[in-house]
Amino acid sequence: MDYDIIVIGGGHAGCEAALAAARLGSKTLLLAISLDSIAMMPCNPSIGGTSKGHLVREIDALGGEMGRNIDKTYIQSKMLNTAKGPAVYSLRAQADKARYSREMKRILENTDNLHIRQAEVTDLTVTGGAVTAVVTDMGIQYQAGAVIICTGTYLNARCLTGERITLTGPNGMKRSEALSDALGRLGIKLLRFKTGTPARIDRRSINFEGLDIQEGDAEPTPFSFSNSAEDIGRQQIPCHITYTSSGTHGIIKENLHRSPMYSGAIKGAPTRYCPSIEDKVERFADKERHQVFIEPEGEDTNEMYIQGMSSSLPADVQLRVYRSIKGLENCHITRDAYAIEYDCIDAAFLKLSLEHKDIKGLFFAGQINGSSGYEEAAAQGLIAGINAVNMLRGKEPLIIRRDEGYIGVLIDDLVTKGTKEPYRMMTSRAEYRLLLRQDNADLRLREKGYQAGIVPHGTYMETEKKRKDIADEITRAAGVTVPPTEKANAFLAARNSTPISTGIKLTELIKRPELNYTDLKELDGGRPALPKAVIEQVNIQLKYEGYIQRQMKQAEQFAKMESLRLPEDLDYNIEGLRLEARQKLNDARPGSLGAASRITGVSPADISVLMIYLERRRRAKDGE
Amino acid sequence: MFAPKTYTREDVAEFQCHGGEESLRRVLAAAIKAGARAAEPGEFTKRAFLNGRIDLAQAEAVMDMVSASSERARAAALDQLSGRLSNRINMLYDSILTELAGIEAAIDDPEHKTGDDGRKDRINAIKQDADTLLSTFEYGRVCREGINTVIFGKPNVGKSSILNCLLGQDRAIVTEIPGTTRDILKESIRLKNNGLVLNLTDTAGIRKTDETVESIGVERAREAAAGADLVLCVLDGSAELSREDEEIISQLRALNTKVIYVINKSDLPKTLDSSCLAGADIICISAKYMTNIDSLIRVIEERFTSGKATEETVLITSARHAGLLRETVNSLENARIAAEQDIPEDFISIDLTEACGYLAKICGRDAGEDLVNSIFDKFCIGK
Repeated sequence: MDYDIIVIGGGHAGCEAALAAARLGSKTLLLAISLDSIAMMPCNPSIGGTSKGHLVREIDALGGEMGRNIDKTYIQSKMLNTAKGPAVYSLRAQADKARYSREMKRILENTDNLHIRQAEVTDLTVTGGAVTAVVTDMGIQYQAGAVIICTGTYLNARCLTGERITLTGPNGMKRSEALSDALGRLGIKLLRFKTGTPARIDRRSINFEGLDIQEGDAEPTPFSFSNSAEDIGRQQIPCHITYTSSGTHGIIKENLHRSPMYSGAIKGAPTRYCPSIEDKVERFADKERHQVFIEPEGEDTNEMYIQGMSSSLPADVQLRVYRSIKGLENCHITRDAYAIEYDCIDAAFLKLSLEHKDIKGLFFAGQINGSSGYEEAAAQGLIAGINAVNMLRGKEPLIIRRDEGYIGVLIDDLVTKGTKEPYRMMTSRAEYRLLLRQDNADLRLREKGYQAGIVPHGTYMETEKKRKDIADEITRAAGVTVPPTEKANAFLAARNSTPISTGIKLTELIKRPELNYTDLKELDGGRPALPKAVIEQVNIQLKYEGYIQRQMKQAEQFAKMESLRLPEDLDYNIEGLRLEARQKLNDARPGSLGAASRITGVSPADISVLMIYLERRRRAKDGE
Repeated sequence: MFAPKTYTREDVAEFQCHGGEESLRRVLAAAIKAGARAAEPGEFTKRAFLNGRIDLAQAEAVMDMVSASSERARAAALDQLSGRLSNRINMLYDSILTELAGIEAAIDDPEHKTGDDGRKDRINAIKQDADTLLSTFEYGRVCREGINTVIFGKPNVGKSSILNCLLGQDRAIVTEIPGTTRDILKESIRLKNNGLVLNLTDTAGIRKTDETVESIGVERAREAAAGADLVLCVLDGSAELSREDEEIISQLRALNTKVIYVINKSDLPKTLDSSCLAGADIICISAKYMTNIDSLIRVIEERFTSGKATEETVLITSARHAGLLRETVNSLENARIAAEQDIPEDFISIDLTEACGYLAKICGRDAGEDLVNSIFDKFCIGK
């Protein structure tokens, strides 16, 4: 065999998949159409954001690369939602795109067991229900035990700007044609999705005067749990905010007929999360203006990304539209906005390990599974990489449950529910988000990464030390009572907090919204010196104890349903199940009763019928 | 008749027979001999539900229709069957979902400003709306099950006579269930004006023999009253209040049950001082001469027709629905308190999500999916 594992595609999914496989000791080959587009960011220049920041944290906890790479190459860092609860704090960084890509390539090039090679894969060889090799456009065949397909938006891609259609992948890259057909020959159902990107504008042609400035945080938070704030300190570059005008909306309305979205030229399903500006103007006609962010694409370039202005209008209309925005009156466009259409698969044909249900060793990760976003792609790539190795070694796959991580929610949504549009992670998709915070991703997932063999022992021990420090401090705090001294009441008065007349337990006092654990040190003489990250966890766990307990109870119930396994070979033509449910269940063959309950078209009554059936079956077996 | 155009969506054979019990019995016997078995209670409806013919709320409505004991209960079941209840629940669900979508959109797109003023007031309004709907359950339940009424008082105040008077007022005795114990008797009558059924339980058998049994008697009366919709507390108007009476009255006041004090023996000179009953429903009757029984019935009817449950409102009649609505109200109350205390709104969202989850169980919706759709429908978010 030439390789243990072959990864097709060098985007965010492909990079994580290849690094994970190679780091776990598998001989790995990454094939990409262009080695200059390794970890390319063809759309927005940022990593993280709401719920995506959670994903990056989880990738880092599990031993992935994205968090460390953005820490090295960010030009602005900001914690979002800090006015809200800790569950929705979200870290986002603006990246220097070129450096991000270059740095990731450097990591790949210097990883043992990993070869990277420029080539287009045109065919897959499947023998006896298992993938055995890939064939490139040069006619070369590489044998492998497992293949991970991470082709992003390249399959049969078309880019549309008004009436003009180019047969390219993102950013003018060569597209992949033959692989779509090869997948079709294997009986893999393909879907057609659409997304888009705004124009880029020359910084020198923008008038920043009078535009709102958006600075990064004075003390940036690292994405990687291995980095401290001091490790990543640097000069940050601001973004700017402007707005569309009534003029903008007028131009768009007049020219809507020239948009391929409205003329019917685009057949792919669009994502609601990333609407084009013409979509926004049409669907939210009563909104007088839409917010527009001007974000630098890097330190060494004048190109600026115009967030919120994705469009597929013709280039001449685009120029007029952009110039109708305050600050952009004299702008020069460096790259036009475009819509991109591409083939992806219906991920419902995958297992939660991301392996195809019927073709052994064939894994899929990233945008080809119907997701959108760099972070969603990277998360899947990491899981697919680990699981390809586990498959080859006969180990159980690594599956993150919905109550364990956003990665679990993401993959379960894609695989169990399937998606009809490019899927974007959202905090509201996570049922137990108070447990799945970005601040505790290490406590949730490091152990799993360690067990998978990708997180080093030392890193794992650090997390376990942190876990113990937190538990010890919570135990200590539970025994502390704050007496009603003058000092205590002066402290409370200074924070607009009701004075105390009797002693109060520290664990009660901390629950007041206006107080936090760091400040309460003043009234807590016996507190040992603790790392900031420990204090943060103690603060959250004590302050929101009631809500956390409630979610933990809900999560326990969820886990119970997940633990009720469904045999893979179960025939769902069960008396009492509705016809639709029988079909859906026979197609999906869910792994657990919990997963079955999340399949669209399976009702709670069907689940009751299934539970009764399984119980009867179990009793019949016991009786044997 | 062949599937799927039947009630159960399964093949169905129907027999239309000549009248007379004997011929019916023989047809049935022949069918069973040929391999048929008697349906379990509600089995046809269960099959209709399992085969996707009707949804859960409709299935429950059919069961209610079958067992509807009053005209109003029948109307409520019909409403539910036609989806009026589902519409009402959906309206409530949508209003919570809108609030939730506002919070979630702001979380997922923190840099886009969304107005969230007045959240506390809106949540409070939704909670009151849910409360109003829930409050119809009391009436909805008595429509379906009848008003469980307990008559009690000391021995010899005329409890049995009053029971007989009430039964005599309306000869339409619906059921006659012998008491489960030797000393409790149950009878049902239908009220004239609102068609509700009055299920009367006479505690006449509770007798004072010695001190121990007396205390047991008071205890049992209290238990019966606590579980009832209505207590008719009978007092002897011709005698002064005894210590026993006073104890009974104070026990009743501590309960949440509706109480009507029936002061009997109005044909005799009034000795009873009723000042300690101020504010309560009092009616003076004479069971012996059947005077004022009409007024007693009118008072009962008034106590169970007034309020928010007018003909136009949907009625909650199922205990399952009421239970889920009660959970909804609790979650909304938690959300309201959280909003009042300025707790970050993603915590409020936990309570609202719970509330949506409970309502989704009544109308069988997927709350997670609905929320994501609502966010995109109502808010312009995204890159």
